[in-house]
Amino acid sequence: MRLLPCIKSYDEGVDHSKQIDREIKEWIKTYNEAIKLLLLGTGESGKTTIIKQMKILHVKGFSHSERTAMIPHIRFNTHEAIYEIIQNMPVLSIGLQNAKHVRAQQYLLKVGPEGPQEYTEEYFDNVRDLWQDAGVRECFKRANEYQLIDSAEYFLDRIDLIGKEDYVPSDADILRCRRKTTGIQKIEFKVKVPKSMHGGTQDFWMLDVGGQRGERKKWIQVFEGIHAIWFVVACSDFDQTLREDNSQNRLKEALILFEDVWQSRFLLEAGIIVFLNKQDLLETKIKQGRSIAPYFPKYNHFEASGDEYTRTKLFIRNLFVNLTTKKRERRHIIASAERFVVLEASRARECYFHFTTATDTHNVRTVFRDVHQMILTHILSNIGVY
Amino acid sequence: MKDKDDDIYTYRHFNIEDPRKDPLPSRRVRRWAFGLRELLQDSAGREHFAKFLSKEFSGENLKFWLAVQELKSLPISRVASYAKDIWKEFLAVDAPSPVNIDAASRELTRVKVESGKPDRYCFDQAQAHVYHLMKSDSYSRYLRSEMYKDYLNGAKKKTSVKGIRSIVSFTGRKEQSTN
Repeated sequence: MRLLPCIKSYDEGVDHSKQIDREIKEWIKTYNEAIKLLLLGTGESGKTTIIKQMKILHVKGFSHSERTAMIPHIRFNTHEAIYEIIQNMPVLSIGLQNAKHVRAQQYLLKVGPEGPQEYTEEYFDNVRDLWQDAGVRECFKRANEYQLIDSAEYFLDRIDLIGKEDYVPSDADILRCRRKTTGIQKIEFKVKVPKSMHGGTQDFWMLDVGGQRGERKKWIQVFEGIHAIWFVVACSDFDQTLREDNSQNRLKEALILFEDVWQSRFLLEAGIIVFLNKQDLLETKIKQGRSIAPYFPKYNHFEASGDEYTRTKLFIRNLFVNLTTKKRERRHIIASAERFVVLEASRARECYFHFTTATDTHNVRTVFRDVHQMILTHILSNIGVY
Repeated sequence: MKDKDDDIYTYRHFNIEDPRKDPLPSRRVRRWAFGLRELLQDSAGREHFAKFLSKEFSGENLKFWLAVQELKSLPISRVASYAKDIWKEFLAVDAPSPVNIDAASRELTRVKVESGKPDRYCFDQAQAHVYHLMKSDSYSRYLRSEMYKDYLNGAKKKTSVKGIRSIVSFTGRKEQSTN
């Protein structure tokens, strides 16, 4: 034992190196852990559509049986679309242009909101006739004044295809199929990591949630351990109101919700990426002459170059950016010691923005690649490798 | 349907027996895939589906649906007060287990519940909405879930029906599950 002192310094070196080895192992372990992503956003912003895209891009896509299982949902989408439109025609004092279509209108109203027992040829003929009617189209153009699904036009335009007996939904059809999500679900998938980042594969967990007000109470239960939030915003929503509260503007709700998420002390460790979604619908809306200005008067003073669509999308991004740079001033009321510490520790955070069209697989692939790269860089820089 | 209890928590699924201990005939379990109606008609089906929903954080839908079913079978003298309980639990602004319905259905229901004496059918529209939500979203996922498949196979092996709850260390529950 007496001989040991001269070896001791050597021992310390070994210990130190072992310590480093251990730490590296720890780092690699966290690196090999699944990246946990949480999709958040208001109702109908496109969260579940992103999940479907992940299935197409990173899992096996949709099997034949999964496709045929979508048929009733797609047909129901078609029904709820036309039913909602004709139900709102009297409300907006719009009549049918062609008197011959009155019978079809009565037929559909009689079917009721739940849809027909069976989708027959007669049913589809009536829907087709009505969708041709100029009065119906006029009411459709004012869809922001009532509640209509975003894919109404897409499905009604494809009524002949959807009505066929041997109809098999395409990826595009499935992506546009609207179904309200309730609760929280998880999908898991693997993604190849670019060689430049270290190669191999990376596991992902993606959590999808319902977006309407009642559903949001549940979110907090899955906040822990989340690496990144994908906050999805339906940009084309600027002239619509919430399904769960007809007095609230949808885009304003998204802004309030985003601020809550951004400021949540449970999410300080999570990266936040905002998906400014539904760019295709936004562009269509703006090109049809709609403007965001009546709903967000500040647009009148917004300075940016480009056409109306470009200016609108930049303006919307600006609305969100402003919330991230705003000082944390709300909710001083809860002045617990814990909260104080959190505030002290809160550091400058970055928020990333992407303009997206979640129904476009190509677009989502590109965005996912960017986001993946960003998350990897973030993790590697956290462990001091990159 | 149980009717002995007038509180809203009758159907809370706290102590569900593991069905695999005493497997049901597979013919019966297979019927659950015929339609949501079939599943809900079977008490074992209801319990299993409730368990699935609680893993997905959407158990309130079934609880609401069952509470409304129960309301319909109550003696008339108890209808009004039970209707108010249902409203408070699932639909009021600060409801502890809010169900996800549209503003129009909520408003229609509110008028019926608040004006005079609510009848047995005051929640019909809201109930139909929630039924549709369960059917189109949760139920189709349930049929594809490992949980249902395992039940159907009467699997003896310990299956990994991991709920989302197991991936987050949500203290209280985590402790329960490791016990």
